Amino acid sequence: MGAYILRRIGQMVPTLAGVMLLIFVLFNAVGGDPALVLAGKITNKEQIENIRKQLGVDQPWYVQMGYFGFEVATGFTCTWRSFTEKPEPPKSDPKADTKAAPKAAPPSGCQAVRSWATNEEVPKILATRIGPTLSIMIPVLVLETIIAIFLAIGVAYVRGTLTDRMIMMICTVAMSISFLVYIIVAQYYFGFKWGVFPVQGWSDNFWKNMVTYAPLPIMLAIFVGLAPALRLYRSFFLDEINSDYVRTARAKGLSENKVLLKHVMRNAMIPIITNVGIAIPSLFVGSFLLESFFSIPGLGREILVAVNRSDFPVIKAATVYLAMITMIINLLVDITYKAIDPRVTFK
Amino acid sequence: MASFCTRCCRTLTIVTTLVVASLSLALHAQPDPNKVLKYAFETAETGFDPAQTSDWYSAYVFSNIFDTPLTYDYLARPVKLKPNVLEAMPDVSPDGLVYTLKFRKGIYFADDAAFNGQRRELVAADLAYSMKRLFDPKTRSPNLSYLDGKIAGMEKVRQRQRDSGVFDYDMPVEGFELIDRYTLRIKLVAPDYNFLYILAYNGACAIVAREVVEKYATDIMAHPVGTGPYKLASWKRSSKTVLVANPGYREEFWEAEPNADDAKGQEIAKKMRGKRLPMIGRIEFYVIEETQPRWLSFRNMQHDYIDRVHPDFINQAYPNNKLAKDLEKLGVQVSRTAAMEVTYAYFAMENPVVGGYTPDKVALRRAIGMGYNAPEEIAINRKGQAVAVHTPIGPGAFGYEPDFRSRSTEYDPAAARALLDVFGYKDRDGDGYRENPDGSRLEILMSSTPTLRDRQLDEGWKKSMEAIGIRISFPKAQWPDLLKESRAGKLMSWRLAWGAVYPDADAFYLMLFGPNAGQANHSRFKNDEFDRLYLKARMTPPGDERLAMYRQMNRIFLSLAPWRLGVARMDTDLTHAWVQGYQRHPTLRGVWKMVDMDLDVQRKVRKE
Repeated sequence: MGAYILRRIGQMVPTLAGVMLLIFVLFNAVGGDPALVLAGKITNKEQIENIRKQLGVDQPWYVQMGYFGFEVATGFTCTWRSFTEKPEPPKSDPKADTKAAPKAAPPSGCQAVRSWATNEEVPKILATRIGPTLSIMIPVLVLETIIAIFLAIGVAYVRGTLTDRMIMMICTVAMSISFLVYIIVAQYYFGFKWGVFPVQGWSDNFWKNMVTYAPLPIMLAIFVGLAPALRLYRSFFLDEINSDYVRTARAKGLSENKVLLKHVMRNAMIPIITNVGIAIPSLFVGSFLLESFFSIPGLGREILVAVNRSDFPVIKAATVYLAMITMIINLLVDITYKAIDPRVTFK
Repeated sequence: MASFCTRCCRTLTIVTTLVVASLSLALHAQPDPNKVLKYAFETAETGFDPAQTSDWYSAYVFSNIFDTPLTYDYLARPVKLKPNVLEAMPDVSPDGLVYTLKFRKGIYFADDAAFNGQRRELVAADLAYSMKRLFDPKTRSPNLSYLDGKIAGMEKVRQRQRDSGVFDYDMPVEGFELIDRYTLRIKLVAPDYNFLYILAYNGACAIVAREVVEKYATDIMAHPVGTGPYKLASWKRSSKTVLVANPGYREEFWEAEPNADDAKGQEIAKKMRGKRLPMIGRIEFYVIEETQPRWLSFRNMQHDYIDRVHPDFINQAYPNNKLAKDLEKLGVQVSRTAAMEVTYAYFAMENPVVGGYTPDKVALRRAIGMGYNAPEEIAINRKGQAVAVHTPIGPGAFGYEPDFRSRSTEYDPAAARALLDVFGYKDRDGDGYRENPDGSRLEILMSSTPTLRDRQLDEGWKKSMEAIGIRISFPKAQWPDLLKESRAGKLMSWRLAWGAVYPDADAFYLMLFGPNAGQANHSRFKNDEFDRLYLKARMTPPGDERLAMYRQMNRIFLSLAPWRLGVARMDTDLTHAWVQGYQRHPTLRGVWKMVDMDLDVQRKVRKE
């Protein structure tokens, strides 16, 4: 197993390099010139060139790719220019008010990767945004999975009946309506008309958020995610319910609860875990819509703001971070298979 | 000995009483911390370094933190400059080249670790430093254009920076002469009577302290320290910004001069005059990008104020140009003004299809202008929340004449068709679209972004142009790419909007000034007479002579039609009943020190 994990980690390196290359090519080919965005409404060529120089986008592509690789590996940006820059000369204007004007400090060689738009450190941006995102997305994933599993097993048990058909029909209708409609309607009625929850908001207190601000977006996300999950999980359970081992278990005289919850569920868990594993990386980027409509200062909203501002360091960092999370989660899901199903072996 | 002790005790008692009395007075002078104003931006701010930001919302925050040498009277219309941290208006030399600024003594920056526990007084050198920062390439200032080429001697500093790679803040500059600790003499390269407006513009002249800039260096966006009425208490980027009243703010009282015929202004002035500033203890700015939660947060009183109500909700807020009944019942107050801006579609003057100055090309552009259904854009796309503009000058700016009308800016498809016929733009092949006078295919390429708003405007343009037989298509690209292409002169036509940072026609005509081609002058319009008048107007004090020049420039603009003028959007701001004294100013952003809250009214309305 150790060798398997090491091999998988080794495979991550070229995959990540591929992702980085793709990001780099995409941003350089279609991303536009960030200097034009940052230069303001009235500018001139010299100023645009200066900004390009400051951002390092005036360098040849292979140098920029090198910087990018270094940034991903270390979280710091260290351009050749930043090492060679001279400190400010110790000069003074005799007429200047020296009390009000102390000397400048020399520039440092390296610094944390910073947002082009706001100059904030990118790792800090990601670190401060991940909390609110997970506060919403973890309860959503956990509750949605548990509820969907139990509903699915129940629906699978009564397969073919009117109840089954009604629930499937409701699921289809629910899936046909846009998430945006649910948000707008729920926000209007639950937030404004009936005042059950605040329309939007977020605080610095975790428990206040979980009790006051998070319930409505969590409930909405669960409600919307439940229909497709229920349909999918039902099909997983149906595949198992018709298997020979289930007939054998029933023939042995096991109770229906034991057959469903012990034997059927355990076997149906493999595709369910795969499905949940696929969904886990999205936890870390959150829901753009939920975060925008409910003013949750999460990562999804931050990425949206960064895209609108052509803030490439933030977009690139978020993309690389998501790629890494996806690879790690995939590995963990594969390891979990073994724990659930002893027949699984690592080769 | 006993009498000495008695004297000591008496003196001590008097001193203690005086100290307690002064402290109590000082405490009474502080704004009520329970007065908390909550408000949501529709777009995230970027940061609070005035030199590094040019977006509206960042300025909305930092204008309450920093002072500029001059400011605007809160209620006077047309807008009127007045001294802010100066003893008087700057002394301008007769040739308009030298501005002498005398700063008031006893104005202090808010306390900060950068000052090592000392109170830091604002001095004349601070303004010189703050303005120099815009020229420093490391600042990457988007506001440099407002000072670029204007300050005598700054070019030498920049040249040295180009040679050595180092921007020397201490290098003597002819244009910044410190007469004494409180007096700064600014010398310009050429006379510019708009420079007074620049001294009130927070993007170019917000006063920062050098120690603070150097201490926080790359983190300066998050550490604004100024002499203004508020200071930053906390900032969660793109989410929540909190300002609290600056306890060291100078003694200042509410004062404004509304026009005699401005009933609302007079009422505000009557109620507010003489109050100690600021009055609100805490301001919380949130970011809500989506229109519905922003509107509902105001409606359910989570927020006290909403600015620029989105057209999607204007029918609920201000139907038929009247405040909605339910809002009226709640005592909601409305402030509605036309923004100092213009939207326009430019035609590239160097383009072989639409550009040029020959009569047929001018006729084509004028016909397109007359054929475009701007009233429909106002009614449908903008839901009535805009006014048509008939000059390139936005409402409220000096030079804007609200009653001015020109036939070439009115919607008149019949006249457009007739004009095209006369100049030989006819449908020769019977496909329903006109060809060029030489028989070649005529197609207008009006670039636009793939956003919903642009798609809706595209539809209006297509409908209008088809009605006069002109084929039009809309090449799509992202905004930064279009900007690059436009500046390179590669677009045939593009729709843009322009808001002025100072209230003068100069801030609009710069988009038509020949030497600005490739930058702000996207159409690359060039007319010698227009350029001559533009430069002459800058050197002419505001008044009838300058107005006459602006009129002449407008005539040149209309006769050559490099743009199809669009609209100026109407800003509808709402405040709840307990917010007192709010009135939108066309250019002033730091208005919150002029506003108060009545907590009794707040409690009463919320209970009801």
